[in-house]
Amino acid sequence: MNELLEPLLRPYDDKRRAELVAAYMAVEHAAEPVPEVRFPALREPALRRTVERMLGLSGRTLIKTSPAHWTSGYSDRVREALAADPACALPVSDRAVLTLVLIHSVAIPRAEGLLTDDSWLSPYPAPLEELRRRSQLTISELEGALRRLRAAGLVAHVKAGPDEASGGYVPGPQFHRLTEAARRRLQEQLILAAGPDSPLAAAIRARRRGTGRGRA
Amino acid sequence: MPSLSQTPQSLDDVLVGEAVLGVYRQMFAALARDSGAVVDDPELVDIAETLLSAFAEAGEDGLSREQMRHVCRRYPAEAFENRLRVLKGLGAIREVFPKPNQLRYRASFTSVVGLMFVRRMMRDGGQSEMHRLLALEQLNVADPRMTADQARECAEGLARAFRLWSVELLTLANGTIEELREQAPKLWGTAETIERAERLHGAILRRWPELDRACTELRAAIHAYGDASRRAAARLTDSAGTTRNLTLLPPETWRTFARTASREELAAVLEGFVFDAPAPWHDPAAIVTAVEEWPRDAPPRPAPPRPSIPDPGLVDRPPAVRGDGDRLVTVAEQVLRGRNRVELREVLDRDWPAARRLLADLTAADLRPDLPYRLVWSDGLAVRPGRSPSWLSDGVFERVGEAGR
Amino acid sequence: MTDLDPQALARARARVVGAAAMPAEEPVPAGLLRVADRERAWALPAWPDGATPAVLEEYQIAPMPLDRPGPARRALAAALRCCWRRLDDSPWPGEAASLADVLEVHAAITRGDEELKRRWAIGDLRRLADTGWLLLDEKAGVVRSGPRTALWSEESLAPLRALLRRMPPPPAASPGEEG
Repeated sequence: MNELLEPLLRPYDDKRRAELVAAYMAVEHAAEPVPEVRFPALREPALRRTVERMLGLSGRTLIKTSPAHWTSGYSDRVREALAADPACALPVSDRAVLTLVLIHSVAIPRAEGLLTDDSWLSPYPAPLEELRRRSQLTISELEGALRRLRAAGLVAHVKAGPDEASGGYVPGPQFHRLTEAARRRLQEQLILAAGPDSPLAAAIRARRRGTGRGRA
Repeated sequence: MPSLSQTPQSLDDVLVGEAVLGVYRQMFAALARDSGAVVDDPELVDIAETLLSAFAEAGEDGLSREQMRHVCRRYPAEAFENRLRVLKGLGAIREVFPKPNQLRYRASFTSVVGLMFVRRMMRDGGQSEMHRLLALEQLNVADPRMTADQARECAEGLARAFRLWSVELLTLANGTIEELREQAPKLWGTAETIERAERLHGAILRRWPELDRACTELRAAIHAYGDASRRAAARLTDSAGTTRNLTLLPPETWRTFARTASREELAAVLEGFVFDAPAPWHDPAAIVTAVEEWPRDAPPRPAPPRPSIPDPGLVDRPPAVRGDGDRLVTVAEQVLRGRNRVELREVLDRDWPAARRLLADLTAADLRPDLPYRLVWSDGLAVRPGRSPSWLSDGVFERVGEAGR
Repeated sequence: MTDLDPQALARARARVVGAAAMPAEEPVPAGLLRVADRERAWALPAWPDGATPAVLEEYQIAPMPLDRPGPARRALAAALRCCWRRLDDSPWPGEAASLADVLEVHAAITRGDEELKRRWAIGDLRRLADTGWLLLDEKAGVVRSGPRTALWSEESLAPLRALLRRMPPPPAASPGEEG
């Protein structure tokens, strides 16, 4: 028995209860967003609200990634609160390498008009050799960070051919788990870093100052 | 730049106008389809470019007609003839006679510059032209030979350019988001453009305070342009989509950042994000499968190269197995769950074999002088018929030494 | 806006930090499973109704991808053979075993070049330790069951117990210890 979820589950009969638990486990642990057609507790709005509340007890929220597909992620307020906790931050090297992968695999193909879906996942792998030659990071730093990022599902390795070296890295399945606000923030952070003088960066800064005041 | 629509006032004006038009004709010759219209086929521009680079390589001898045809051999004869006629007609390519009966051709410098200018304009919509222009005017303003009239002309010209730019941006900002996203980067002003324009304005005003009206107009135009840029940017920032705005920085900007940013600058992008720690699940059944499916079907593999360095952490150190004390500590800590003392009736409330084993472990922990635990029995005894264990003695299991911390 | 529930925040934090140990005296957020030894405690997820992530399999849904799952699980089996000696008990906390013994058992259940297998196995043991499936002290050469093994439900353990009984014992094991 689970003391935390019991009060939410108790009102349901065994069948409903099992459906709720299955949906909860699926959105929390699957690599990809799960189709609601397979999970009655995601398909039916009333049950879905209960799943949402189950997740909320652990600072999580339901995220709809495409029509009829669901996953879970940290709610925005929880993300903001935890981001201030140094124990919750990825190591500097890992963050740096992940940013490089995002630029090579998403930002550049996007700027070149190759990507059309509005997603942080990409079919354009960034080859390790490219990451090494076109950055200030050392090969050992890159390899160590990529191994950890891969284990966490933050990057995925894509093979282009039979040879391991010919592929590259793309953002991993954890990027499904970003809320709309988090995905938007990621876009803004990249623009602020790469084009700090652009009018877009100025507009982002102005808006953040605005919301900062609104909250204070 | 003088306006072409103005009616000429005097013979001088007409002559100046003609000279200017001559330059214009040469500048845009590469883009002209015939003497009166602009090309509609990019291939025609390519022919002009091919010819102009061939002229640059040929040096002062110029090119013969056959040589020109040769460098343009991959274009149809008809297109080539058309190009040559237009370029000649507009003065971009001139006929010269170095010797009697020898016809050679030379290209005009202006046409090459014009083509470069046009290519740049096509690429970034005049952003970099504006930068160059502002830098050039900044130099002019510092030049002792510059007159007040020239400075006024400069201020008015820039004010006009900024006004037109703002109008175009505002029109876009009120149109569709897709069009805005596509066009805005060519039109909007970076912080640097606006800063340069303001510096230029300040320099003109300091040197020629009498130009305050023209300068006020310029300042207003710069501000209007800044506003229009901000409005376009704000609309894009607020637009739907969570990766689409990445297209607003050119690929080269992204590449430069990736290439030159320090580890810390790259890492700062992901400040404010939290991710799941890796937490793979190894189900007991999956472990069984992994062991049982192996190694029966494994194909023999070639012997790999041996490592030259032993793996760190295993350098000839006889592995020390810790004694039973470790296990007792673990059991004790599981029972205490972070507390300093616990009632025995609480922890022994389970099936008898498990309770007996636990009690044996707790007693062992109590008897070990090196472990910081003790069992303290009191007199009470609870008889619990039908339950397990069927009796429970009152007592506590507690941590010693650190209890007061 | 309602205030953020500090307990919910603490539970979210546990997912972010994963199998990181905390001092034993630190409280574990309510609603999580506290697993502890002498100095350390771990806050691990407590799933409803005995469910584990293995439920994904029933729905044919892929879990987060794992590099080399087979070798990792064989390394875990080898470690459990040495650390989980009293098989009637729970795998956690188990007993300390020497890394050399674990590698020996691993060598016996796998095939291939000894030295290479050993290096791969050490890498796999490290990753198992990173994710809380084992406790590994490479300096001392000691391996123990990890706190995550406490998440296995009693009902799911029978086939694993049977497997471990069939596996070759560590060299130093005295037969009397076998459970």
